[in-house]
Formats: sequence, C-alpha cells, structure tokens
Amino acid sequence: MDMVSRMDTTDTVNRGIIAPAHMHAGFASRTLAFMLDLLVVAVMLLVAVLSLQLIGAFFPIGTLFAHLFGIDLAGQLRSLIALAVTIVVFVAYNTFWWTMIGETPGKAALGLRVVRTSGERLTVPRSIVRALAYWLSALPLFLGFVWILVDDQRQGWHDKLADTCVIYAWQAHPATRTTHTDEQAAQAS
Amino acid sequence: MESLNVDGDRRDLPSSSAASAEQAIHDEPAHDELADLPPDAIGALALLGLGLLLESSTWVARQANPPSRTGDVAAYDGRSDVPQEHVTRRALVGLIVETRARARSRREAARQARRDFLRRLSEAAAPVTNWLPVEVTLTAAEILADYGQKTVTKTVARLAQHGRIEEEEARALAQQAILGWMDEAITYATRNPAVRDLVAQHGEELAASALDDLRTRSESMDTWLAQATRKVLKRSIPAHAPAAGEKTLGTAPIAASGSGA
Repeated sequence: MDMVSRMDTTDTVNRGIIAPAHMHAGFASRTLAFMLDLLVVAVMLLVAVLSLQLIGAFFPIGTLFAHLFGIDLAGQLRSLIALAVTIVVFVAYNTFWWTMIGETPGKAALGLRVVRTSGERLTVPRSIVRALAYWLSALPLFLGFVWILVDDQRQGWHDKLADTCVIYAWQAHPATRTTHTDEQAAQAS
Repeated sequence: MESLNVDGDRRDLPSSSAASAEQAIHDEPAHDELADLPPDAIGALALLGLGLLLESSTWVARQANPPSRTGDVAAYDGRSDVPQEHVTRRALVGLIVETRARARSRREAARQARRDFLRRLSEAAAPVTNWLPVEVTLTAAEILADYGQKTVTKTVARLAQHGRIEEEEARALAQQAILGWMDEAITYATRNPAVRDLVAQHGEELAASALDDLRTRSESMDTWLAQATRKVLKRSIPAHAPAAGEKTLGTAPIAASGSGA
C-alpha cells in the first residue's frame, strides 16, 4: 500500500468511518448518475441549439440556398445537425470530466469514478471511445447497460470496449457498511 | 290580346276562325241600341245626373251667400288675413302634439320589446328554473344570512361585554411587536460573520448528510439488484464485488490515480 492509501486509511479510521473499498459500482447508482448527467447535457444542448438558431438567423444560408438553387438545405440537414450536435456535446462533456477529474458531476453526486481496470485515470482517446460506445450499448435495447447486472466486474459493453470500470469513491458510515456486510453474509450463507 | 289581334291584325288569327268571325258580324240583325243597355248602366246614368243637379244647386247657393273664411281651413294659407302669430302658435302646437304622439308610440314600442324580451328570457330559462328550486334556495340563503347576522351581532356584543375584544387587540399588538423584534434579531444575526459561518457550515453538513444518504441507498439498491438478477439467472453470488485493479493491481492502485477516498 502506498503513501496515499495509508493516509486515506489512517484518516478514515481516525474519523470513525470506513471506505467502500473501491468496489465496482452497480446498476442503480450508475443509472442515477447517468440521469443527472443527462439533465446537465440537456441544458447544454438547449444552449447549443439556441446559439445555433441565433447564428442561423443572423446568417440565413439556408434561405439563400433555397432562393438561389431551390434546395431546402436547412430542412434536409436539420436532423443531421441535431444528431451531430447531440453527439458532440455528449462526448465532449464526458471526455472533459473523465479526463480531468475522473468523474462527471452526476457521478460525483453519487460518489462514483470512472477509471481504467488498472486503476489509472482515462486518457482523451479512451474517454472518446467510451463515450461513443454508449450508443453501442444502447443499440440492442440497452442490453449493453443491462449487462452491468450480470457481469462479475459490473462492466457494461462500453466499459469492456474501453477497458474501464466505475468504482465507488465515497466513504460510508460504519453502521451502514456493517449492515450491508451482514446482509451480504446472510445472503451468501 | 286576342281581341286586339282580331281588330287590328287578322294575320295572327288562323284563317278558319277569322272567316267565321267575319261571317258572324255580317249575319247579326239591326236593333235598338238603348234597348241592349243593361239596367245597371241606366241606374248609373241616373245617379250621375242627380249628382250634377245637386252640385249645381250648391254652387248657385254659394254664389248667393259666400261663406266666412275665418273658420275655414283655407285661413292657414299665406293669403289669409289671420294674424301671423296665431298661425305660428297653431303650427307649434301641432308640432308639439305630433312629437308627443311619436314619443308615446316609441315608448309603447319599447315596452312591447321589453315584454317580448322578458317573455323570451323566461321561456329560455324555464327548464333551468323548473329544475332548480330557486325559491327554496333563496329562502334558505336568506334564513342563513339572517341567522349569521344575528349570531355575529350577539357574539360581538358578548365579547364586548366581557372585554375580549380589547384583549384580542392587545394580543395582536404584542404579536406584531414580537415579530418586529424577531425580524430585527434575524437581520442582526445575518450580519454577524460568526452566525453566517455557522449557518453555512450547518448547510454544508446537511447537504453532505443528504448526499451520504443518497449514496448509501443507491449502493444498497445496487447490491439488491445484482443479487436479484443472479437469483433469477441462478448464478452464484460473489462474496463481494471485486475492486478495480484487483486483478491487474500491479500497474497502479486506485488511490494513486487521484481517488478522493
């Protein structure tokens, strides 16, 4: 155990609380964190869409194309632009937070952290791969997310693809942990 | 039209009918024209003659005794010798009478219109008024209003007699004063940095406690979901969920990667 871990343990013992031992986070916590992140991303998307509409109103390129060439450029590209903006905002949001501090605001609220299976922090390419792999997990009726429930490492498909995992990064009170451990022991017996 | 055609333009008639009509004229015998006049025409001629006789006798009588023009209708024309003010006054009186008559007719028309409107309104509201016991409801409301008014009057009189009103007023004044002092105290406390720090610390502790509770519950839910899924799939339940880096821990521990634990 290195210096940081020893300090954490000493501090934890002195404060009368114990850590959840960096166990892999489960489906409920990750779903709640994901929903919180989606709320933040939705606000960002709203701002982005409003900004794009403002820019489009100021530079009416679609109207110009429709007048000159008879092509409804804005109508044809609207859905494509919306999808592209959604993907870009979502990937940028997750990549920024995972790379900088290892946890998005939603995951921080639930006390979760995204790390590599080796325990290292994610790099930018790995973060991008993991964020894009969300769609891969969602495509077969969210089976890639449900996989967290049955996997021993509690990894979804996007975790396996990016070689990452989500762990608890918070400290619980002894009473709660004891009760939880007792329940687990009872279930195991 | 057919007679005109017969008299004026015989080409319009068929040749057979024109020939028969001409034949009938030539075959008609000569006779006395007065004898062919109907009795009504003779009576009419007699009446006309009598009328002419009467008119002529009246004209002769007028010529003999011309009538006075002062009381006649012709006195109102411009050639009359009646004073002008009388003519004007009579004209004004006539105008007034006519105006009154018109106003009376308009009032009568308005009354009739109002009666028609009320009749139609009553006809339209008849189903509702027949269905709702309006009179009973109004009577009950009046009774309740009277009862409430009497009760309030009696209560006020009783309270005034026992001095309760003054007591309540004093209590309200005291409450108002206490609220004012409390506002001042709260304002003073919020200006105090120590109190503000204490409130902030308490808020942080409260938020941390809520977050801790949320995390604990979500972790419990994670465990419950995993166990329920494994039971459904009849898979073995691990003693604990493995930690990150447990299998490949040789590269770097979690704490060294910047975890906040």
